[in-house]
Amino acid sequence: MTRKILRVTNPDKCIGCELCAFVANRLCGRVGISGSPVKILGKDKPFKIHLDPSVNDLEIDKIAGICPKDCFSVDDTEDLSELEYMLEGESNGD
Amino acid sequence: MGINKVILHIDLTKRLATTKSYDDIHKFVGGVGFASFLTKERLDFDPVVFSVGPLNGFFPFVSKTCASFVEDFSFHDVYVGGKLSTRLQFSSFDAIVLEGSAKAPVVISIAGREVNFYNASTDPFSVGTPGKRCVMSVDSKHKQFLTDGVFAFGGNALSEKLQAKGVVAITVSGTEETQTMLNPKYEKLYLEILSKVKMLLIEPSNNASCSGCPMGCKDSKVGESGGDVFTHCLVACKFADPIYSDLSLVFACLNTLGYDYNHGDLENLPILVNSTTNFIYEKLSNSKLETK
Repeated sequence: MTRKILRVTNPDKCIGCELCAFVANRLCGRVGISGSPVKILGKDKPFKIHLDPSVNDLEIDKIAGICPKDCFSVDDTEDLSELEYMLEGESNGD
Repeated sequence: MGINKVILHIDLTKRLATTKSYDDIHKFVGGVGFASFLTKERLDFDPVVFSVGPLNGFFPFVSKTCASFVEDFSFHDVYVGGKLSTRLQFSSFDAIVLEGSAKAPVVISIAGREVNFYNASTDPFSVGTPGKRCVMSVDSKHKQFLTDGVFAFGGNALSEKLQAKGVVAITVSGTEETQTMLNPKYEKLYLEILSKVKMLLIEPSNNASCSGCPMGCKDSKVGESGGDVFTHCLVACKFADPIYSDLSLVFACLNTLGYDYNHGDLENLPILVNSTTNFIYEKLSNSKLETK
């Protein structure tokens, strides 16, 4: 069984605009950053993009598509362990 | 939604935080409108006001925060980018008013409805909620007040003012969320505005961007001062003037979020704000004469 998952493929390009965090939250029925399955951490470049595995239950094409720097890709995977936890780097203390 | 504006007043002298709602503030919309209203109301307490507008965090390119203060018998308003506008929008408050002066230098944390005061040796990046916070702090080297150590307010006067008040840093955590997007018109309007990116008066680049703006422009870290009153009531970026000077669009945005403004309210807004700042100038001018 294959499933689409959201991956962070170009984290170094992230400019911290948080459009991805906002759209993910809107897909959850909320406005704001609190509770979003996508978080942008850091005070300046390079930012860190943190994906909660629950993000893959959403329309991830919309999250990938809104990024102005193409930081994300949507891939097919058969390895469901990939859905468990995806963390790009550590917080640099935002 | 958002009609009953909640203003956080912080008495620096007493280290005391209180909230207040004002019946008349609604018609000032936000940003420099709120700043002028609150400065007029609290002029005797030497207020420094941080304020956002109704669209910050809800629509793209509305990414600035207004800071206002009185110095040299004048009313000043400056603007900063970064994450502050969304953190303040999704805190529990629509504006923060700092009054008086601290007896000892202080670090302030605002998270949810909770306000805490710490001594000056506290690392402001160690308080608040990670991932949801923005830290404003004095950069003594460059004599600027910065957000997240990166984004500057326009000019150096705010930094000097806050240092004189004993404020070392303020951390604002945006811990609230809103359920308004269940309105399908909201998503459509959001994407429509985002598609107007080519109307912005600046080119995209690869710098750290303001929250809610995909540009990463070369001036993202540079503060603003002065400019269009209407844009600064929304606290949109000056480069987004061509988008947010469209009253019909702004009216649609406000309407979608549940605000009850009419076109007349928005058309009269610059006059209202200018008359309020003129009142402040007049009062300051009189006190200057009395001082002499």
